Amino acid sequence: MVLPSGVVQALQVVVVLVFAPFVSGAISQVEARFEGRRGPRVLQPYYDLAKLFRKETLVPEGASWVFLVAPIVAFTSYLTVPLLIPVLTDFPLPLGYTGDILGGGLILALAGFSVALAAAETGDPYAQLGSSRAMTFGALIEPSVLFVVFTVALITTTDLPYAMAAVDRSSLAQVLRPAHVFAAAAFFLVVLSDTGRIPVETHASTLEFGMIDEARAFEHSGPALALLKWGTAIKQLVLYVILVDVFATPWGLAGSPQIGSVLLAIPILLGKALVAGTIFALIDNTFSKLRLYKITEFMASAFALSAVAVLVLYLGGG
Amino acid sequence: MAGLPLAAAVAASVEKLSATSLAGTLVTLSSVLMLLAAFACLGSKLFSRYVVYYAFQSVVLAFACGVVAFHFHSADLWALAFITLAVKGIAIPLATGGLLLERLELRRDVALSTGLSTSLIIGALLTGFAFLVIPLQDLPHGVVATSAVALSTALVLLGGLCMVVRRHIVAQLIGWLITENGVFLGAIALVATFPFIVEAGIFLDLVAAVLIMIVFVSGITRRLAEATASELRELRG
Repeated sequence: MVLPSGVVQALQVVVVLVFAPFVSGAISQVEARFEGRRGPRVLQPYYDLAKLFRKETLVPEGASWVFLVAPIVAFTSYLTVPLLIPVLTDFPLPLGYTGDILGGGLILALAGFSVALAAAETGDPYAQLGSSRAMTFGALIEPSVLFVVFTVALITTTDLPYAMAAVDRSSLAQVLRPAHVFAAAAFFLVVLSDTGRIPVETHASTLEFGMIDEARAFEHSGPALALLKWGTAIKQLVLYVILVDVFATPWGLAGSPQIGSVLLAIPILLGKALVAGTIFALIDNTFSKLRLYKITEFMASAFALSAVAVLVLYLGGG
Repeated sequence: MAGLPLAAAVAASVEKLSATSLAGTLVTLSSVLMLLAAFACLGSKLFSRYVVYYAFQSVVLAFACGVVAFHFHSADLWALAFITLAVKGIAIPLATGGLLLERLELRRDVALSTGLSTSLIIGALLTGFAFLVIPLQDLPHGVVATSAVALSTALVLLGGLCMVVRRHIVAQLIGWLITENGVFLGAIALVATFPFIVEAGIFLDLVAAVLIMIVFVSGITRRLAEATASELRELRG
């Protein structure tokens, strides 16, 4: 049976929506195992979300409607990105060309902006401190993202994620060429920073000194907090998908809209995301968190790698 | 086209790797991984990390050497690959780790002359410079894994940079070892069938140098409780 492309398109979003908490839960389980703990259940994030959705929403005094709308805007933005990237299929879907990598980055930035705006509404020092830090470091990691996009553009002459993945699939030499490896390594560091992982942020702690992304949701509660948490999980899965399906291992995607191959692509995608997550968990356990003012060094290394990728391509060695 | 006569002469006399073959791709990939390890070294501040990254780099180098050996069915290169693995991948990291780092209780490297960010950016520029000065189109077409040559040059430069920005002698030793790895990589990428005796001689030098380094640094540290190059300057008469 052949699925209409609109259904496949919707399925991409649904898969990301439904399985994002599962991937988060599985990674924290892996992390706990590395530390010799039993860890929470894999399905724990779902229980957390269900609990939060049942609770009431409290709004700080003086906060306007922006505070309540922001989580919805952020959640919607995160769910828009899976329309633009190869989640399940290796052929472009109808909306796949409506935005390129920069467009996806813009939508992710919009989500970050709305959350920061909501944090500013609250008047809470911790939430504002978190959003101020998130904005600062977001701006510092942006040059690396741009240079990775330039590399993609120089290799494929477009900056569409689908085109990059197709070039990668065309031969093994394309995946292993120097510029591509450098760009993929730089993007790996970008994902590390954007998902709030250890050299940059301790994602599971509530210690104010090192908090960046986590601090922004301090004043939110109930369904709004649930949307923010779910959104964070979705953002993480989306970034993993871009890493594995565009840069590292763009294989195992459905080649045709047959229902069987599309359904088969789901477990393969989750498997790849979990392997990536395990690597991130391993890094979480082997490295220590950088001091806040040393995070720029991490950003510099990501930038150096992406700049090398572009330089190598321009000078003919890519 | 100043590079042409030399390149043509080299092309005529020895066997080479083709850039498009699987072996060429693997050697290029190994060079990229080695360069990433050098960058990791440059961006780190812990002595134990330096040693781990160097060991990783050497294991990758041994793999690249094995690929070339497999490609040319060369017993000499197989021997070199195994010596690389044993000496650079295992023995030197163990010796520096056990005899230098643990005995001298070296943990955090504080003797840096520039910030990490600056040295990483300089490293990126040096890599670009290596690609600039090695005009890949002048290398014999299709007979060498061309990027590997430029990447190995970049590795030599990054090792040098490590030695320049780090003041502690053990960190400089690691920089020197990275440079040596770069030279070795360049050798197997450019000229797969070079005389075994040359490379074996270099290995002997390397082991001797590391041993001497260990003895000297231990002695100096016992006297001065410090082994950074800036302190050593005061020893001049």
